[in-house]
Amino acid sequence: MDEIRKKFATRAEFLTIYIKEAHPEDEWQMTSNEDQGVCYTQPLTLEDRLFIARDFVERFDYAIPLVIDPMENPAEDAFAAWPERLYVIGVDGRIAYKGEKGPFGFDPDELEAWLETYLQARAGVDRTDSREAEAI
Amino acid sequence: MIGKILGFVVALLILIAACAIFYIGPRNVIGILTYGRQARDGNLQVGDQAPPVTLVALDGATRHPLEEWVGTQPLVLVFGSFT
Repeated sequence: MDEIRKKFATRAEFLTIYIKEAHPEDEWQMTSNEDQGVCYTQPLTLEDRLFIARDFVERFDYAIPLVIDPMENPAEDAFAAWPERLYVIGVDGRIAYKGEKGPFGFDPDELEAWLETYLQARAGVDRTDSREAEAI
Repeated sequence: MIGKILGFVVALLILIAACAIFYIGPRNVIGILTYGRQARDGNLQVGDQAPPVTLVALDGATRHPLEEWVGTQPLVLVFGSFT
């Protein structure tokens, strides 16, 4: 994802919303996580969730700004985001892109292609607006 | 004769199911059945107003409404967790 962020850095904001664990060891543990030493129980407190999120950021030197969904999971609930998902919100505050639910629908390549088209179209609109403003 | 065919079909289906469970992994089969339904399509649609959620900063001390990031440029949201 960071490659995509860098590619569009001047034209889009990126924000990671850290939600409840998808594969904690006390629920649906994955062999791949065991192999990589990523073994956590599902957090029961915000401090626990923060601890894992910080570990994630440090371990991967994660560069995309990251915030945490509170323990009531309001963001996960509102965006149907578990276990992972991609969205784009337009400057008007409306949903512009809704990726498919993860894990199989989590598709950064599709997002990248969509962003390319969307941002080009948006730049075209901006240029048109500028010309019209100049004409006025 | 029909009984034998039915028996063969049932045995074949059981064999296929067993192979599928072995391939996917018993733990993942249980996980899919138990937790898989948490993955939902959701009701949000393109064009809907983004839900007004408040999020916690990584320092744990401050909270920020999502709207803080909205408005200057399109905002890409990446939802996920470590595990």
